[in-house]
Amino acid sequence: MRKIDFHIHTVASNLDSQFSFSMEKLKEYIETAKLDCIAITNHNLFARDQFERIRAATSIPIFPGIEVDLEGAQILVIADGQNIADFDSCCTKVSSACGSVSSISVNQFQEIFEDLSQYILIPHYDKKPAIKEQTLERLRPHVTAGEVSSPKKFIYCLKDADRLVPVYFSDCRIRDDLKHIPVRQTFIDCNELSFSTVKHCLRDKQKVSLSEADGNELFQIFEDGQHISTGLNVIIGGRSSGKSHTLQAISERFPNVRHIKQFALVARDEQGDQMRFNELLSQQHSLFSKDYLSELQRVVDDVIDIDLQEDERAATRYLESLLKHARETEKHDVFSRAVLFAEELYQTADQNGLRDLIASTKNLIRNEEFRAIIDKNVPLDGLKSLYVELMILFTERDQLHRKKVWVNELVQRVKEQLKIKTAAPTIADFDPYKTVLNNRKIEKFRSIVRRAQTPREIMRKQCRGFEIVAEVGQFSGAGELKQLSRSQVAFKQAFDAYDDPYGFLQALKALEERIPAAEYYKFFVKIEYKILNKHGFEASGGERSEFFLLQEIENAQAFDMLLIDEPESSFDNLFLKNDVNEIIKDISKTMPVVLVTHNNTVGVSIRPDYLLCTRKEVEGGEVRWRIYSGFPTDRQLSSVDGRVLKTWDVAMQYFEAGHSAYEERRRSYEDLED
Amino acid sequence: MKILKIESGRGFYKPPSVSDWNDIDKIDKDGLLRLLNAFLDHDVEMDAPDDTALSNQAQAIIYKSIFEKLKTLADNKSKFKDESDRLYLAEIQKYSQS
Repeated sequence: MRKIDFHIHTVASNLDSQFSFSMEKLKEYIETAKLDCIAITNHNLFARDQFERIRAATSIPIFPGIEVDLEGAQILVIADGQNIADFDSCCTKVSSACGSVSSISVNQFQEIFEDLSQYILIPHYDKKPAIKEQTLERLRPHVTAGEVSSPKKFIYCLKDADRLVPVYFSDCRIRDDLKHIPVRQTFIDCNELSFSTVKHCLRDKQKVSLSEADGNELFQIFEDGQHISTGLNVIIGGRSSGKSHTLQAISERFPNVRHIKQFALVARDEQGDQMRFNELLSQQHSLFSKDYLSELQRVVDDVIDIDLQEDERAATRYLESLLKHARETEKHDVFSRAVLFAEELYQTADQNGLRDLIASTKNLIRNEEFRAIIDKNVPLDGLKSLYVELMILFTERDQLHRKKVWVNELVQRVKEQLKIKTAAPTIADFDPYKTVLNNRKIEKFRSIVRRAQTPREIMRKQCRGFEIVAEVGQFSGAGELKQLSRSQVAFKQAFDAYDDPYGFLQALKALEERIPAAEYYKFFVKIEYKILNKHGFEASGGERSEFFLLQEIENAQAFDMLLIDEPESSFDNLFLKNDVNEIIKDISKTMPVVLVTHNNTVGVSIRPDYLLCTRKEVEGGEVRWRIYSGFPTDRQLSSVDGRVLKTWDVAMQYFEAGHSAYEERRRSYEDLED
Repeated sequence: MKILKIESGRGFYKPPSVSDWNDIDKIDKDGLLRLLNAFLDHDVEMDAPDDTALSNQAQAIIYKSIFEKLKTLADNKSKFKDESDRLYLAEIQKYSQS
């Protein structure tokens, strides 16, 4: 097996933050990681001089390459290195093309590199920014493999026959202050490292793996060569032996890791915990809440600009001006006597009712699922002629509507000009139809809000032995509104008007954009979520923590690795054995899971794929931290520097508090059974 | 067919459905709608107002406004009809066939 890394940066491009390349670090990386072959792939550039210096300073094969921004994604282009001048010239064209735009097109890419079959092409595949499907289709015959960002995605691609051969590379910047030597590389099954052999291997899923000896069961986590399983790992060890430190070190080296720390989910203070819990539950169900309130939101949006007080003032202004106009006849002149001077505008109502009816008729005509029932009750021809008649009516009304709008514009313009000229009192504008409609809308709005606030249960669902219940009702105080707003806005004044939805809406508007108008609807109805235990009572602090843990583990699906530190410190054995073990086992089928434990219920019953034991050992007055690891079926666990421990001894010591304690317990259980 | 005319310094309008000419300052919104329909459905004539043609200033304001607004429609007479007809055109054609 040969270990390769074909994604290495040695020059800071405009896509990177500044760094200084270090030849010594590169050599250290090659030596420590035991790399057999690398490629240098800088963003949109090829530094020929530097590449030749690197080649001269190292002893392994090094291929020239470039990482090109292509159609919003990135692709590695690696050449055989036979004709550096030609490759350099292609890369110079990429640099100038990418200098003016953020990425080049497939056509430009093909023009620059011409015969793509002579390169190794590796696009970002299960890695951001990932190649678009259509770009991949166009390049597919020449694409060698696809780069992924984690062992989880590597395994996923391997298992799916339709996906590209995965490769896992460091994508690292070789800087003089590089903190951790990268552990992300791919093994290929080949003897000689010629360009064509490597390319051949990268096209074959059977020939790529994450580890040298154990195929894809293991992958490397630390620069010293420490591996863990791509499935379920259990770390055991004495107090202060480096278990939590190991998890922390893993999480620092891998992106997109979910790390559930020890005691993270334990309830500490009842009130704070309850509040945090409710908030989290509300966040998780925010889509449900939004959906429940969506109709109310539409109504709020529709009435938001209605101002009943202003409507009343407009009516008063109109009446007063009308009376004045009638009284002061001596002031009337040719302008005020024109009919249009006092003309009212046409009412232009929308045709939503007719529009909906047409849409419903169309549904009846097109529906396939209930065709037989519809046909039995309403003849299709009748529906079609109804549709045509409604449409004709609609177009007639629509035309008339547009004409009325046109006339209104004209009337308005004439009135304005006449008003400027006349000495007679003008009549204020007033739209009685709109005023009445606004009043009706507000009445309905009040009634809808009150209905939505009526206390009741709107959702109940099962979730891993618990029940989640959503209830609606009224808010009980300004504090709740403030909490909902997640701001420092004071709601005291607004809440005084809460009992009248219209008044409350005006009060929210008076907060002057400290609350976005698009969120007003949330403040009318309180939606509260509760977790009930299997007996139907509200969950206790401990039960809430159990629920949290299960949710956290389940949510980890979105990550590339899951790390859990001593779940037993917060939960009882029955819960761990029945619920936690099952869900951890499930999730480890799709991603690497590392579980720190000293509890045999977790560590043994869960049957891990890989066992790691951390030890603090003192040698000649010096403290050494070691990790011993192996498959649970191995007779012994070994450290990267060649030391071994018997697996049986480790299990006895850390799961059973030693062999004698285990024997004693075993005898006690036998006595109890007798 | 003429719908707007100027005679002896006064402006008049007459939709096709009406037999007599009326003073332009007596026009109301329904009268405007009828003029618009006549303008869209027929080839109509309208006397162009110049600055001195109408002695009554109120008439001048009204006449000029109507004349100009109709004029801007001249190149786009099918505006109202087209926009309405385009809605669901395919469906109407499809369902009218059966």
